[in-house]
Order: sequence, then structure tokens, then C-alpha cells
Amino acid sequence: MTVTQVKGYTVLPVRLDATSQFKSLVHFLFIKKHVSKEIPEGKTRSLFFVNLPVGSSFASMKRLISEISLGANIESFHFCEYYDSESIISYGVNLNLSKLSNPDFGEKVQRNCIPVGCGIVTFLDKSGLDMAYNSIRKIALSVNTDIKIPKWDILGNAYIGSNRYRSKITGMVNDSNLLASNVASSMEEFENREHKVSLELNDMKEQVDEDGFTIVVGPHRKTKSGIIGSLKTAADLMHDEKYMRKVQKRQKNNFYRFQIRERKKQEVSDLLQKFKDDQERVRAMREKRRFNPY
Amino acid sequence: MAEEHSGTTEMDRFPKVKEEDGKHGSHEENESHEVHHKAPLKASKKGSRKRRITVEDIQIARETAELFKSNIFKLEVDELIKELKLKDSHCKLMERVLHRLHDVIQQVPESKEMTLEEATGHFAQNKQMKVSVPYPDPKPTALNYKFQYRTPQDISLVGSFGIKAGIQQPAPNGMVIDVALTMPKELFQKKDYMNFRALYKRAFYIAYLVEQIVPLTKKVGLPLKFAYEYANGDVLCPTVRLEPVKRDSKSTNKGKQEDTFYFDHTGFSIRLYVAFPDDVFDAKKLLPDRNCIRIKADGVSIEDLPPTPLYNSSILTSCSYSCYLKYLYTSKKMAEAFRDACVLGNLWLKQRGFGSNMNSGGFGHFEFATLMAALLEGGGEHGSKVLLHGFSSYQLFKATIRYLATQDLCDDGYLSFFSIVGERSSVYKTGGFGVPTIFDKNTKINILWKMSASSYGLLRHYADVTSRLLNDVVEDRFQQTFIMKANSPVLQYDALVQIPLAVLGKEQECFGSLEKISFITFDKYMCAKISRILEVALRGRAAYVNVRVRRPVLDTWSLGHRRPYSEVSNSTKSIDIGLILNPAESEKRITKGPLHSQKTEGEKFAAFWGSKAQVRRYKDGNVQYSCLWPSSTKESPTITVLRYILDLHLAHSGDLSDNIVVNNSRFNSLLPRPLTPAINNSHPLIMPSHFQELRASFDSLCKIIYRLEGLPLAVKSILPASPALRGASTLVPVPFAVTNPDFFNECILQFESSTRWPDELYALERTKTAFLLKISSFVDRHKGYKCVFSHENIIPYMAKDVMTRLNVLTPEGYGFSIRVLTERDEVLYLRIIENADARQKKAATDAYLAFMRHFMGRVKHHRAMSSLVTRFPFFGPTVRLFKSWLDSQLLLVHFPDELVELIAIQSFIDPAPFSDEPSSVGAGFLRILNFIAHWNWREDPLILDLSKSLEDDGQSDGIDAKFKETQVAGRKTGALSPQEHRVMYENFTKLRKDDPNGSHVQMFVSSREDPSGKLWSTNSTGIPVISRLTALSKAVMGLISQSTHLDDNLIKLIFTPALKDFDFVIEVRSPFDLRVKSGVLPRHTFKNLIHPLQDFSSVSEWCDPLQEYYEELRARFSNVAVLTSHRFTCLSDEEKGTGNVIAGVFNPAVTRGKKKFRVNIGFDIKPTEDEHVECNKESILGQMVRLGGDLVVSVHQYH
Repeated sequence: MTVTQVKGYTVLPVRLDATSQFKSLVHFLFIKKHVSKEIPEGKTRSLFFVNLPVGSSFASMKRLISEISLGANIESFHFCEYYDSESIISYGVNLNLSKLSNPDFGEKVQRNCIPVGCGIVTFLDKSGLDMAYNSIRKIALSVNTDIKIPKWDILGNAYIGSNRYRSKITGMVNDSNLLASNVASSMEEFENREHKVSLELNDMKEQVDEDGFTIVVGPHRKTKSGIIGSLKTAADLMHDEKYMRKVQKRQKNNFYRFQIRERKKQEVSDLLQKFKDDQERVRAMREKRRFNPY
Repeated sequence: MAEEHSGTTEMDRFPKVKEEDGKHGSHEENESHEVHHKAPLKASKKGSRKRRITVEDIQIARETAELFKSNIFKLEVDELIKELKLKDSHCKLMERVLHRLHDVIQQVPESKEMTLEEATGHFAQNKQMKVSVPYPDPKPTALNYKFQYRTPQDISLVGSFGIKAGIQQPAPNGMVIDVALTMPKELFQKKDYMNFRALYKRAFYIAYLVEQIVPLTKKVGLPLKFAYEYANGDVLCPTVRLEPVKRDSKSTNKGKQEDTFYFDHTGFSIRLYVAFPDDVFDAKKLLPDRNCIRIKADGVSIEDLPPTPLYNSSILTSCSYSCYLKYLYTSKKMAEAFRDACVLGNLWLKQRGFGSNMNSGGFGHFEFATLMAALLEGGGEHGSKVLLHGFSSYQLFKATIRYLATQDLCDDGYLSFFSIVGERSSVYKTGGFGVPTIFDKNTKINILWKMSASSYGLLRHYADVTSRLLNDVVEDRFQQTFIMKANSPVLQYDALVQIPLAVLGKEQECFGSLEKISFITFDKYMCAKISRILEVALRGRAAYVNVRVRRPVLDTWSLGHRRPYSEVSNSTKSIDIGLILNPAESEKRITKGPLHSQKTEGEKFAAFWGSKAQVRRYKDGNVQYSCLWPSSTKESPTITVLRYILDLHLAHSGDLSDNIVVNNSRFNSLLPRPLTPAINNSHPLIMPSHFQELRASFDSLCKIIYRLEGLPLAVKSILPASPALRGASTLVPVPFAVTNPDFFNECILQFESSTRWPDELYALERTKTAFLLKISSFVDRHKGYKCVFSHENIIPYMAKDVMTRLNVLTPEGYGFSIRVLTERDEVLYLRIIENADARQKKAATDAYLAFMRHFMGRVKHHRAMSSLVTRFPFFGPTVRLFKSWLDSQLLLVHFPDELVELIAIQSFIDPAPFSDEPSSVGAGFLRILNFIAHWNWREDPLILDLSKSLEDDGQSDGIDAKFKETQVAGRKTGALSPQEHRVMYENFTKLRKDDPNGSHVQMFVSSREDPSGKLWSTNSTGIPVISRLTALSKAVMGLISQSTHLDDNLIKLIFTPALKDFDFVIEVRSPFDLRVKSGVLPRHTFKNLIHPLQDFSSVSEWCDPLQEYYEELRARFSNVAVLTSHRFTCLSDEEKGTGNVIAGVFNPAVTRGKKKFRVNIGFDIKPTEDEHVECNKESILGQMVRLGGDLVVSVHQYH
């Protein structure tokens, strides 16, 4: 028995391009109508694909759909590949370093909502979608019969092998002028944001709260969150070891006799503690047979 | 009162006499008073806790915890001694066996007096068993005295078992019980010590005893095998070795009584010595400077015959077994901890390959125990006591080691003692004999007669190293002192040279009768001769030269032969020369001799060096006799000298130097060879000029940038952070070698400080880019310089292409890539961590760590390493070899260079238990692997002291060390302080508490540069990779321990990856040869056919497409499989320089079993029958191969 559905997804087997090493490979796409809050099932023009192979592109998706049902035309294809050359570990967590480094005027980064390995195909019209979806289900149901499994082009020959990797030098910038203008425009944007924030700050200066106080804004590198944050940090300082140590240093601790007595007592018990710890350590080492010299 | 707690009983072995604490005496007393007062108070308070803390407890802890180390050290010593204790059941069994043996010996019938002929006839008659008389050489032909066997006048247990100081030892050389049978006095005449007479009599005695005893033991059911064996390699003193017969399963059916004598499971064996009575010879006549073998030699009168110290000592030793037994036994009774200290000493010697046998250095358990006994009676120059009877075992051991280390018993003086306790005190007397000497006035024996000056030198050096270890206040050095082994010659010596004895056959002609009487054997004679030659030839180059005969594992031989079958043993025997080199001198190509004006010395020099000696003028104006040695990429000049001088001075058949096997220098030729113009045909091993040229190019680039004007901020510094700039890169930097993966040398540029850097990360990065753009337009204007920008995504979670670096190509043909660091960066990253919510915290920390690695850590690491590279000349080439080994094993891609270097430096900055840092590439490489093989990274951190300077290494006793420590504590330079060490150790325990299996951080490697210990190992490697590294190192160590001789095949094997261990292997091939473009000289080609690179090729050939392919696969599929590849394609394929492999192991957590269907599952899946999914491995592989296209040659799936 072949599986045609998993958790409401239609399973569509596709044949991957044959390489000389692997004659026939079957890959499985999991497909469902794309539904969201804004677009209910009746209105959607999109299909949601899970488990796309590497190097998916508009062209490859278009080819697949046209093979499945001739009449269906696709408008767009958005997808997210699992590919991140340097920051492999970023998978799963989303972190906007810019915003975190400065909550006031950090860059906003558009978050890609599509999960890794998935894609959304939008058809030109609803009928196209229905046609394609029906064909997909038909193929899925009749996999065991001799219906041809549709083919999926991974990547054209121009994009694989030596063509792909010979000319590619990771990150090399060929046009430094372009780089310069990019930098200039981003910096301009940044300055705009910065300016906006400083205006806000100036407003704060003028604002008088209900108790009649205004916030003091110094000239150096102060941001809204920096100033408000500093109030918070004062409370945090009490938990900070370094700070507490500094405070304690100021207090004399060998003035009263009881202090000296306490200290000595502490020393002795530390000593004992260490002795007990050592015994414990040696016992642990014995259990691991660390004392066997051979 | 002390027996209340277990802790107390353990500790009261260590009474109050403490050498280090002596000066604290009064102080301590005061404090302990106070403690007395406090104690009850404490007890009442804490009484409710698990047990009461008493005054004694505190006192014990205080006594031993003055230093952190000494406390735990003593506990560890106790455990060790327990571990080494012989099993009681075994000892009981052995006692029964020995009693039975004693009875059997008593039953042996006495023989009648026999002449030599009768004796020969007697043994020939015996048809059941062939017994030969083990006569020493020369075999007697006609004697005018008679042999006889009479019941021994005494049978006693001697040796370590006798004084109950035996230790567990592994097979094949298990614990040996020594039994001495003393021949009756009536069998001897006073003059019998002369001319082998006593020895012949004893040989007969032994043979007769064996002949009688064999059937008798069978009769009484003692399951024993008999063989002859020389006592400690002394060919004049044969003994009988009694090995247990293996119990086979059938014999268990036999009577129970008989079964009980089987002792094969204990690992014990028995050795029967036949001793001479102690008062039969006049010991004075047998002093080391007397001649006792009178021979007729041409032109030498009897008075002028050379002394026969070996012969004399052998006879005296045979007279004195019971005397030393008594001496050691009394010493043991007098000093409570004597036995334990003996055990420690014995183990210490064993771990360093020393033993009583002449071929293992001639200093073993007996010598150590005797020395200790002598030191209990004195040992100072005026007989002042070195050891006190109240010392603990640790103190006895330590002080004895220190005595060995500090007192020269060879050239400066000797120790004289009297082997009867309480009779006379031992005195150190100045004026040595040139041979190691501990002289016993009672028996007239030099206890060290089996040692050579070279083995004594080595022993002393080891003692010195150990006494420094014992004084270490920073770390607990117990493991290095006792547990770790340092007896493998390949690891112990920088170079191990083996000369097969068969090659030296012609030297037999020089081994005349006079040599025979003083050296006894040809082996010994050759060792002495070679040792003498090398001492002169390698003076300065080698710190220690140790010449030994390699002996088989068990040197027993069957009763049917007079002596071990000499022809066979000579063909397998070889002389091993172990060299510990002096790294500063060993690579020099010139040997300097006396000045030209010194005529007599000059003639001597010329005579010694033969045709190589020449007179040369030097830059300083001196005209000196010297030898110039040809340079060779294959081996060190020291080995060239050795080959030449042995060829010159030894008579030999065939070509001696071709038959010499040099073990460690084979590794030198494994280093990748640089492709450079044919003029410089050979390059020195240490810091070839390529590195200097790279450095010069870097300096001139810096100069240009420093001159830069018109920037808002001035450039403050450009700091290098690249392996090639510190001489530690896998490939030697070669101009224009662009496909070398390390072609671009990273450096960090800093501007003068400013408050105006943007207060946001991306804007800050872009500002840096703007600065770099300005710099590039300036540098571009200089002739020959070219700038290229590249984006880099080295910080996780950073938006793509925000960071840039400036790559500069210099006219000299090198590449540098510059990044900018500002003082604002770290603040921003820290703020990110602060602002991140709980879920993001870890990811934010990862980003911070990546920043620290690339911008701060690298620079600090570079700074520390580059000074170490100059301090340890062999570190550079060794770490380069280690890196290429890692790459050959497909591991290097997973390790940052920094981590590799830190692991490798361990063997250099902390060579213990070996004596010195390795001074050859081979020894260094193997010691690194040895370290990794033994490093349990889950439980032990690696804490490195990268700052140790030479001055701190000097001889320092406890007081000095303490003084230095207080001096150093204030500064952040100098050696690591105990506090710093403890902080790092605590970091480790904290880390392991959160992550006991080490899934995030495997190897904790910390130094003052990175106390957190995880900078280089977080997220970089992974448990499978590290486990494989450990397993491979263990495999290499296993291979090496099995063979003493590292031939090319073995080394090739070490450098061959085991591809079948992987799940799949994709064989790939690059469209062009990468070797020339990476600056590697192809092997097996003629140099003049290869043209060195002249300029930068077109950009399309700038990289290794295979690497790019691998990187993409790794980025896409690293969650499904651990993928690995050779980083240096140019090294992986010797034939064509194009082939490489990409091998992978599927992650079992992903690929095994069914998973629930999730949209964001993240890897290729296929449906299963029950609405679940599983990993679609075939499709994944297919996609990988498809991406590779024409680069892929074939795919193998092994699992």
C-alpha cells in the first residue's frame, strides 16, 4: 500500500534527475492548499509545498506544474531553502542583531515566514489551482499503477559541478563602487533613524511627568532605552558580583573581635571542606580506576 | 585517639616532619592552639550534621593542606599503594609453592666430586632430559679442580618479595620472586674468585641442581617449567627461572591437592639465584680497580692487565644477596614508610623504562631501595642525614628523587655507605670516578656497577624533572609522576637510531682478549665504544645519548643450551641509540672545533673528524677548525653527523650508514614541500625563509597603511592573526599560490579610539566598510598592490553581506585580508546578549563568541603562539605535520587552527612525564597523538600555561617557587598562578555540570588568553569528530607500541584515512591540478620541470572548486550527516593533485526510526505506512551528487 496522505498533506512522488550514480530516485513532496487567517480555503489560489529538493526555483516549479496539468499557470513561487553557508546554527531561532544591539534605531528585518524546505506556489486563478491540485491527488492515488511519476529538475547543468563552483568565490565583491554606494545609502537610512530618535529624545527633555520632573538627557551617546535602562541597571547592580565585591572592599572586616573570630572559623571550615572534597575526588578517581598505572 | 575516623588513619602515616613546612613551624603551632579552642565550639554547632568534626580532623587537614596539592597528593599516593599491593591470596599461594620448593631442594641428593670430563659425562648420560652446564665464556677445556653439588647452606627469599615491597606488574614480565641458594663454603677455595673458577663451579652446581630438581618437582606435583636466565643481563651469572605451567581444563579433573599449586593466574614466577657464601672471598681483592682475570697477552705483564670491574662486581654481588636482604629489611623496620616509598620508587622507575637489568639502565628497585636505606643513614657531605626515619612515603620518595637530581654521583663525587644499619653513616665524598658510584664499604660493591654514565645522566635528568613536578604548586602532578608511562623509546627520545649488531661483525676483530676481560661481552664493548664516539661527536647537539642493546622481551633460554643461541640473537639484536636533542643546536649545519692557533687540539679534531675537518674563517674574525654538513630535507644534521662518524670510526661489513635505521626522522619528509625557484633546493626544517618573506611583505603593507592620511581616524595598529604569519600553517606560504586555502592571511586593523562610532551593529559594520574603502583606494595607488573586497558571514544571525573585509594582494605575491575592530564592537555584542530574551540568549551568546573568536581571540592567540614558536624551534614543523595528519584523516575541516595549535602546544610546554619538550618532528608528532589518546576530555580540562618563560623553568626548590609566586601574583605575566588555575578549573566543572557529556563543548582548552576554555571548541567540532580523533590517536599509539621500528609502510598507514568507516563516500575530482597553484611541490617529479608561480592567475582559478562544493554540502546537509573532506586537495592526491573525497556519517538521531510529520522538520523525508515520515537518505545523497555534477567521480555506500 502506498501512502497518499500524511496529516492532510497529499504525498506526491517526483522523480529526481538521474545522475550517473543514481539511476532513479524518488523524492516526495507534501502538498496542501495554502490557507491562512486572511485567505480562507474557498478563496485561496496557493498550494503549500513541504520537502522541496535543493535548488528549487520558479522555473523548476513551473515545469513540474505544467507536467502535472497543462492548463494551470503559476504566478509566483516563494520558498525557503535550508541553506546558510556560514551560520548553520541559525536554523530555528530568529535573532535580529541590529535591533538587539540598539532597540531604538536598529534595522527592521523582514522575517521570512516560510519554514525551511517549504514553499508556496500561487496560481494565476483559482481554477488553475483546483486543476493542478486535482491532478496531484490523482497521481498520488495511482502511484502503484503505471502512471508516470512526474519529473523534477533539480538544477540545470549550468548550475552544477564545475560550472557552479569554479567561478564562485564565496563573498567576493567584484564592484567596489557598488559596495560604496550600498554602504552610503544604508548609512543615510541609519542617520535618518538616528535623527528621528534624537528628536524623540529632545521631546522627552521637555516632557514633564506628573510629579513635575523631567528626564535629564546628557550630550553623550544617550538613547531613550539607554537612559531608561540605566535606572534598571542600578537595581541589577546588587546582583552583580563585581560591584558587590567592590562595595565590600570598602568595609573593614578585621576591626571587631567577632569579625576576626568569624573569619578564623570560616577558614577552618573551608579547610575541612576542602579536605573532604579531596577525599571525595580521590574516591571518584578510584572508581574510574585512575590509579592503575598499567 | 587518632583511630576515630577513617581519614585519620589514612593520614597519620604522614607525621609532622615536613620539609617544606619547616619554616612555618612556630607559626603553625600558634594556630593549632587556637584551633584547639575553637574546635568544641564548632563541633557543637555542626553536631547535627552527618558527623562531628573534631580537633583531630582539623589538625589533620591543617597539617596536610598547607598546600592544596600536598593534601590530595597524599590521598592519591595512598590509593596508588593500595592498588599496587600484591593480592593476599596470591601471596599465600606463592608461600605454599615456595615451601614445597624449599623441601624439594633439600631433597636433592649430593653428588660426588667430579672432574670437568666426569661432569660432562654425567650430563651426557642423562637420556631423559638434556641439560647443559651454563658455563660463562670462555668455556672451560681443562681444569685442575673438581665440581661438586652439596646441599645449599642457606635458602632464602631475597629481592622485593622478600621485603614485601613487591608490586603488581602486568605480563609478560610479571612479579618475579627471587630465591637465593647459597653454595656451601666447603666447595670453595680462597683463590676461587680468580679466572672464572667460582663461576664454573657455580655453573655446574646450577646444572646439577636443575637436573635433579626437575623430576622431583614433577613427583611432588609442582607445576613448573624451567629455563636458564641471566641475572639482570649479567652473562656471568646464570640463574634458573621457574615459570608456572598453564593449567589446562583437563587437569582440573585431577586431585584437588595438586590443583592448588597452579599459580599461572597470579602472574608470578620464581628465579633461583645461586649465591656464593659471603665470607669466602677477600672483598678487597675484588675492588673495581683490580684485575681478577689473568690472561697471557702479548706485551702486557700481569701487573698491567686492565681492571675487570664487571667481573669483580658480578662475583661480589653473588656473595652479598643475604647481606642486602638484611640491610633492607632492617631499614624497612626502622622507617615505617620505607616499604611504601620503595613501591613508589619502583613504579616511578618502571614508568620511565628503568630497571636493574643492564640493558634497562641498571637502576631498578634494588638500587633505589639501597640508595634510600643509605640516605637514611646520612648522605650529606659530612654525613648529615638526607632522610629521616619519620618521613612519610611521599617525603622519602621525594627527597630521594631530589638527591638523585642534585647530587652528581658520577664526575663530581660519590656516595659511600656501609650496608649494616647503624654501623657507620653514609657520606658524600667529592671527587668522582667518572662512573656512577654508590660504594658500599661493607661489601666493596659499587651499587651502580650496572649503570653506564649515559644511563646515569638520563636517570638524573628524569629525577630532576620529577622533582620539579613535585614542587609544582599550581597543579596536581600525581598522574605525570606515577601513572603516565614514558618508557616507549619512540616517544621518549627525539631520535632513535638502531644499528643491527650483525652489521658490526667486523668489529669483532677489535674485540681482543683485553677488551674481553674488561667488557665481558661484545654488546657491552660496542655500546661503550659507540657511546664514547657519540659523546664527542654530538657534544652540544644532543643533551643525552643513551646507548643500549635492545633485548628480547623474555631472555630465557632452554636448559639444553649452554648460553642463549648466539647467532640467532645476534642477527635480531641491535644497538639502540636514543638521542635527546638540544633544539637550539641540533639543526646547525656547522660543527665548530678549536681555533686554528691551537695546534694540538686542532690535530685531535682533525684526527677525529677525518676528511670532514676543515679550517674556516667566520664573520667574527675567528679562524676555526670546523665541519660543514650537507643540508638535507630528509633528516636532521645531527643524524648526518652520526652516520658519518660511525662510518668513519667503526669497522664494518657493508655500508654501515645505510643499515642504520633512524626512526623518527622519517616524519620530516612527510611535511609538504614548497614549490619555489630551483635555486633554494633545500630548506631548513625550522622556519624556512618563506615565513620570513611573508612577514616582510606584511610589514611593508603595514608601513603603507600607517602612512595613510586623509582618514578621519588614524590607524593605530594592524595585528596579525594567521597561522602562516606565526610559522604554523600546514603549507609553507609560497608567492602567488592562490588555491592554498590559507592564502589570505588575516589581520585585524584598529583605529585610534573615538566615541563617534555608530551605536548600532550594522551601521558600525558599514562604517568599517567605508573606512576600508578609503584604505583600499589608497593602497591601490601603490604599484603592485591590488585590493579586492569580499563579504563574509562569520557571525551567525548577522544579516547577509553586512560585514566586509579587505583583501590585499601584494607585489611579493602574498595575500592579506584585513578586518576592522573597534572598541564599540564588544559593547554592542554584550548589549545584544543583555537585550535578548530567554529563548534567544543562547543564540546571542553564540554570536558574541563568534565575534570574540574572529576579532579578539585570534589576535591574542597569535601573540601567544608566535612567541612560543620561537621558543620551541620544533613546534612549528611539528604542528604543521600534525595539521597535515588531521587533514589526511579528514578531520582538519572541523578544527579551527587555533584549537589544533593549542592541543599541540601541550606536549611542548608541559612535556611531563617525558623529560623535555620534543626536539624532533617525529617525537613531537607522536607525543601529541599520545597525549590525545590518553586525554579523557569529558572529565579533564586542558589548562595551558602559554606564558612559561625559560627563566621560570630553572631549577627551583619549594622556597624559590613560593617566592617567585608571590612576586608574580601581582603581574599578569609569568607563569600561571594557582588562583588562575583554580578559576579555570572551576569554569570547567561548571561547564560539565550543565553539559556532562560535552555535547556543546567537547575539549575544554583554556589558557590565560581564554580562561573560559570554550572559545575555540564551541560549536566547531562535535562529539563524533572528537571521538574519532581520540580513536585514531589510540590506534596510532597501538601500532607504534607493537613495533619498535617505524618503517615507511607503517607511517603511510598512519596517514591513510579509513574510508570504510563512513556511511558514504563521494569521490570527487577537480578539473585542474591544484598542487602547483597551492605552492606544493608534487612528489615524484623533477624539480626543474615545474615552474614556480610568477603572478596571480585569473580569478576563476582562485579557489578549489572541491572545497566550495564541500562547503555547500556542509551548509545544506550538516543537520542530516556529519560531512568531512580533505581541506588540502593538493595534499590528498599524491598522483595527480586533483582527487579528493567527501565522506559522511548520517546522524542517527535524524536518520533512524520514524518521525512525526512536521512542516519544519528540516530534512528530506519520505512517508511511511502509518502516517509518519522517515529520512529519505537516497534522495539526499542523490541531491548531493547532483550538485556536484561533473566533479563527482563515484559514490560508495558502506553502511
